[in-house]
Amino acid sequence: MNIYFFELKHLLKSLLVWTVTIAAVLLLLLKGFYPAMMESRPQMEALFANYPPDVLRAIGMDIDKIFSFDGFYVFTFTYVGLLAAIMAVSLSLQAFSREKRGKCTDFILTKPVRRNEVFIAKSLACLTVIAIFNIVYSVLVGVSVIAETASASLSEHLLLLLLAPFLTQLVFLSLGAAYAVWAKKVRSVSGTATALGFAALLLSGLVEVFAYDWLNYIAPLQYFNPAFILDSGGFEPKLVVTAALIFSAGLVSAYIRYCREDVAAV
Amino acid sequence: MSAVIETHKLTKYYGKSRGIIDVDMVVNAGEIFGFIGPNGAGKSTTIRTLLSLIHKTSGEARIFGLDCEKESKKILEEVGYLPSEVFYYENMRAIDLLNYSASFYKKDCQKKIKCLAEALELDLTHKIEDMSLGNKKKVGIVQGLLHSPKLIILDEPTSGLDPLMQRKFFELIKEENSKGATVLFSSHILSEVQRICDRVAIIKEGRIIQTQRISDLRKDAYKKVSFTLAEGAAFKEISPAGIVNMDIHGQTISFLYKGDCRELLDQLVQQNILDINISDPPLEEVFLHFYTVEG
Repeated sequence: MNIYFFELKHLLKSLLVWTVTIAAVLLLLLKGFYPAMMESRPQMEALFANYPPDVLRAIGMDIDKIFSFDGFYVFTFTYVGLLAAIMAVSLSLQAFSREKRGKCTDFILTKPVRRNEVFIAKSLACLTVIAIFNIVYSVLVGVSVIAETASASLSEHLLLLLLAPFLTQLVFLSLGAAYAVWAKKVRSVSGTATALGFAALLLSGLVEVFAYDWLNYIAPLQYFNPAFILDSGGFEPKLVVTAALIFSAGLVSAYIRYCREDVAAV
Repeated sequence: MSAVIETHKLTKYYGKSRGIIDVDMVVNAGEIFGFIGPNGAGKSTTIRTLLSLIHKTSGEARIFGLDCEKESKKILEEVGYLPSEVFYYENMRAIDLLNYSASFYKKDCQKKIKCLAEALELDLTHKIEDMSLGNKKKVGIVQGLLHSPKLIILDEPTSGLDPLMQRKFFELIKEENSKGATVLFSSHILSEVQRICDRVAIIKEGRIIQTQRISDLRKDAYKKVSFTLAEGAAFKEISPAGIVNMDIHGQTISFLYKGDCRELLDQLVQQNILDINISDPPLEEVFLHFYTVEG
């Protein structure tokens, strides 16, 4: 338990910063930007008419959809999802590379503790932080959505919509853990997390631009895209399976490597 | 005497490159056991295998009679380890690190932390990354000893400590030893080993080539003899067997001698000596023949 609490303590600052950031972005978009946008619909339509359609699709701007609250929520998820993903990668990178970055793997592994216990404690600490974040996020979105009583479909699928960032974060958590354990060196947590997050955003952009279905499988931000939920009432099963496979592969490979690797002298 | 550390044909290869080969070593309870060899000989590999930081290729390693890999958790409860270079978490104060370290053991370590910090004159409120190399090392020493381990494993521990602190460090280790702790002390500085150890194993190119008591090593060793003759006195040839490296420089004569001391002294009294010095050569010289690559 001491490792769990140690990790939790060191991840708390991240939790605070990310929760405030994501909540601010979400509230700004849903409570500030959306009402303002609705008021200026004619001007916005005129403005976006000048953009090439491909560019609009790539940044998640579908004029017709975006003016519905449902569509706008999906649009916010492009950015909230990205931030949530970067947050998850950053958490697991921090936790799993903590000793590597401090060159003190010897320290923790010469304590009376099994390697799998260290791994599990770190995983649980990351999960706890993500759970706390998602509870705050869910309360915020829940309040926003309930306030927008006009949106029946959002309310109907609220539970799934609230699960979307959590499940996306699980996938990215696992990717971050795998990177941290397999990489020889982790130089910058925030740099690596941002790079991974934007790579995923780029892949999502490709999905929108080229509209090939198979591209969804390699774009982790698409796996739990709320657009699917609003279109069909649920997640896309094949993408959920892909997400589950990637999550398991990342975590299991990291677990095996962490438990078995030879720790080189520094 | 029961064995605390016991290895049998312990072998570790890193891919195809040699780590250690067929290392047989027995460290008995209560002794300070030296482990010497040049850099790259396999000292750290042996220690890291014992600590289960790396996995053996073959052979057997046991500590307290338990298998080093399968029962590492139980073993590590009673092991304190100090590596040659100490690194700790970013942004952490020494006291927080030590409390975290103590939280792994089922005993109260606060008193010991305080005692050790006082003995080493270490301020625990500072951040570790702001500390000098020597102070970081002191944090490492406290960290390794705070749970009063039954086995202390030191891997080239004195680098970064000034001579005064080295002395203090050896006193601490001897004190722990007198309370019953067994010590495995790896070093490439032979005078350190000479200073503190009971027995020593010499490792070269991954293999242990000799294990001996320090006192036995000395007994068989050469004495270094150097004397100056009075002005104008002529040097009378001396010839007991066992004299090597004779060097005559003006009135000063020096050589290495191995054999019966009385025989040597009988001949020396014949000389008109102004000043004489008979000393143990440093272990470096004693061991030199182990180190020189054969062929």
